[in-house]
Amino acid sequence: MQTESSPFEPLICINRIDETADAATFEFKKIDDSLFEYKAGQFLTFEVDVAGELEYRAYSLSSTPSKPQTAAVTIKRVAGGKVSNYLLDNLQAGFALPAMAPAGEFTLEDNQSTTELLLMSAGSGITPCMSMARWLLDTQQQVNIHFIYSARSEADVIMADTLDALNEQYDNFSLTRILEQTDNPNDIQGMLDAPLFEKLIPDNRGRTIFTCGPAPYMQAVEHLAESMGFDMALFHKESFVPEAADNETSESGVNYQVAAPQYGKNFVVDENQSLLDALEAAGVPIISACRTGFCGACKCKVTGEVQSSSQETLTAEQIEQGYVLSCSAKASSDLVVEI
Amino acid sequence: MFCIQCEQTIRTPAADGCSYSQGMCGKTAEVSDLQDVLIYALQAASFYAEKAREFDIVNTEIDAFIPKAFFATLTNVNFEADRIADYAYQAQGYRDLLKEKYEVACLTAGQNPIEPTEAASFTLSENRAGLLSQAAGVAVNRGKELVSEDIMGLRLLCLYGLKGAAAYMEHAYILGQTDPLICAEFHQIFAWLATDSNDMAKLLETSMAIGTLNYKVMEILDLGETTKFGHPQPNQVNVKSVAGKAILVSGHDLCDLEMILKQTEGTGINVYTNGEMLPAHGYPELKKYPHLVANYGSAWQNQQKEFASFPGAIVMTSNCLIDPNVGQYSDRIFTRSIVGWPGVSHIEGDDFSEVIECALAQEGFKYTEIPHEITVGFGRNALMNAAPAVIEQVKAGNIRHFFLVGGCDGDKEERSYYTDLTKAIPDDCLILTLACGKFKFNKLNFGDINGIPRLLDVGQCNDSYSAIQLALALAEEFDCGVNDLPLSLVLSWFEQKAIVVLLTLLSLGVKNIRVGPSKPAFLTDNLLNVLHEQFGLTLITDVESDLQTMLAK
Repeated sequence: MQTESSPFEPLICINRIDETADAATFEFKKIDDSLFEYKAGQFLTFEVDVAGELEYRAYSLSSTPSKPQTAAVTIKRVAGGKVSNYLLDNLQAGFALPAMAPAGEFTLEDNQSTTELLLMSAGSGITPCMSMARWLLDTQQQVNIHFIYSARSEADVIMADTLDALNEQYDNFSLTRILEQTDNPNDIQGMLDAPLFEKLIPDNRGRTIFTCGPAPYMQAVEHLAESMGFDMALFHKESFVPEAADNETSESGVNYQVAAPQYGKNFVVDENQSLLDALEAAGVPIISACRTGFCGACKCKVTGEVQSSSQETLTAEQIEQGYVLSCSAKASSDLVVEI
Repeated sequence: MFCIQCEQTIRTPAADGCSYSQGMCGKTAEVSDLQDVLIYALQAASFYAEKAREFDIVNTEIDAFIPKAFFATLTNVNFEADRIADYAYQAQGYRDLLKEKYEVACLTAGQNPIEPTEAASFTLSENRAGLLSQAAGVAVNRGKELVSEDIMGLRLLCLYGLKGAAAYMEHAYILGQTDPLICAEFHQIFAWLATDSNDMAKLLETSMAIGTLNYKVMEILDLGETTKFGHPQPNQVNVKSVAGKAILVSGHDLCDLEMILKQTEGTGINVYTNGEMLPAHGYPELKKYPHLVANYGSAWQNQQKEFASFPGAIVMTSNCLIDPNVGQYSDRIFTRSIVGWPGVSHIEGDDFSEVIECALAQEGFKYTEIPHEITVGFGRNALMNAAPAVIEQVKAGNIRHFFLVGGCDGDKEERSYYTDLTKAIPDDCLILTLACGKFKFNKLNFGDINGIPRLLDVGQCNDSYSAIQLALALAEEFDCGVNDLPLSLVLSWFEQKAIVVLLTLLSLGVKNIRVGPSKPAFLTDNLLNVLHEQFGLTLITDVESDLQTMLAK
């Protein structure tokens, strides 16, 4: 519903580009035609009503802040993905979608960087890297960009035309596509591994790496960079992966007891379930927004052991006091939770 | 004041019922007291309406007025003291008219007129202070110190049940449907209730008679709706907003909705339904208007937030209205018919231009949301058309059980039971729903069983008539009684329409109904036990154990 007090601002989808069979770019404008202000690499958190239940998902912007009249995200279909699939099935030009202001620190400005850049991505992880490349090139920054993109096949390459155009237009942009299956002689067939990485980057270990993609991909890139002697102060990876956030986590069957005495709730949480999901399922009135460990809305105080994948907005003092971001916390013991 | 008619009434260990300066609904003590006086005055008029019938004296205007004015005292309908007082004086005028005609007829026939009851000879004070001073003597719980709580509970069960039936009589009347036999029985029961019977058996019997009467009322109401607007057909309804100027129509009156649709044609204004108006999208003669674009919002208890966010004009055609000043939209909400709130514009007649002007002056929706479509329109005919396919799937073992989950919505946390229940109902079961209680789950995706949607929205609360027809058809097909069907009814109640629907179901012999979220405060534990023993009526407990019991049937 269109409420005045919401932290979400409706954005109007003005264009939908179907990039591949299972991915589309959605271009938005603001209702009052005011300009977007964001840094390349940041994401938008959308509020999406899927069958009567509000869901929140963050998607990296794939557009460049140098063209601020509009902003775009690119979304890929995910097996079992609730929100991504809903948006691909339902979002068309003309419809509005509430979004929070752009956020995120996976940006050129917020990270140590050099003029030699390696932008490495896979699947829909291309989006923040694409935004960075477009921004740097559009604003004629004195940088060299090597854009390395991995996908299953040519048909799965997102924003293929834009990549080709950048490759064509800019001398300081070079493109390598690594595809598991390809007949195109310009592509590299296979997977990114140490020999290939060595072949692609034979020299300069002083390059800055920004990487985004599925978690195993980013771990592999990190491992390769580390083992090949890159300066890891210049290595930056996105801390959340939109499509991974959509994946249904399978229950392990290992359960812990959770008590939320303020609300008189006692329930169990599976060790693979996020604490936030469990709190919501139990009817604890916890507020959440990005669900990816960035916004800090779902902060709660926990007594017991948890594994946290993000403590992004928490101060050292809060961490000391037992605060966690419930979206990014999984129980590893029985817990008592205070909101 | 003393009012205990709705589910949110004050409950304390000492005593139940709203008896302070204001009820939980926002009704002031003054309005509540005047409503008690009004009811008593209406009962006086009913007394003579019944007696006059002995001489074939029937005044259709009065027959329509009495249930309509009684409806004004239903929860969340009319909060305006002046209008309630006016209704009372009007009732007295009608009483006097009927009394005169009756006495003349008696004289002509050489009979002595019957001695009037205390209520029938009640005379209203001519000023407000006087009326209010009369209230204590005519309060709905008058004489409570003289009778057991069980007797008082039964009297209230009957009075509130009859009030629900009166509301449906008014809905039917608007659609051109009235029945002299229904009116006669209504007057007889209404007048008798003013005699404050202490006869437990007679009161119980009357409560069932009210249920039976209401079945007939729902039948003519169904006839009225389907004659005027066609039989509901399954239809997809968007529940999101569309860019443009907007009017929201709430309540139950489909005729008002039709007039608004006609008068907004070509204006560019989009018309939205709210709450119990949602089923309108199933009627051919209403859904044909392309500017009937969507349903907005959910059930009544959320209106102070949802109406506040609605950027257009709002029309409240019947219950439920709550304080429009909280959400600061009292300048763009309009009441109709028996509805009223002090300071809110009331539209008489058929001209909605004031509403249209208001809508055009508002901002309207600035953008179109991603449409979310839900299916409505499984009224009597649509259900009957689907029945063969349903029966086939039952016989093939693909449909195990039917649930009717419906009734009123409300804001108590315990009502999440209904959401949890419908979510927990296994995939091989069908869920029928009706009334605004559906908003607890009707936007969820329940999928289908070989093409038959698992959630079938039957319509408004009075469309329980359609659900009953389906149950009867299934019972006939399977050669058994309704109670032998794999069917469980789980009702939620808030106000008096739900009470009378429950009485109707009980009077039809439907057993093992579950009711929640809590027991009506006017029903004692003894009375609940009686209903449990006679009908297997129980209160809801927790989803898991209730579901287990129901599925074991």
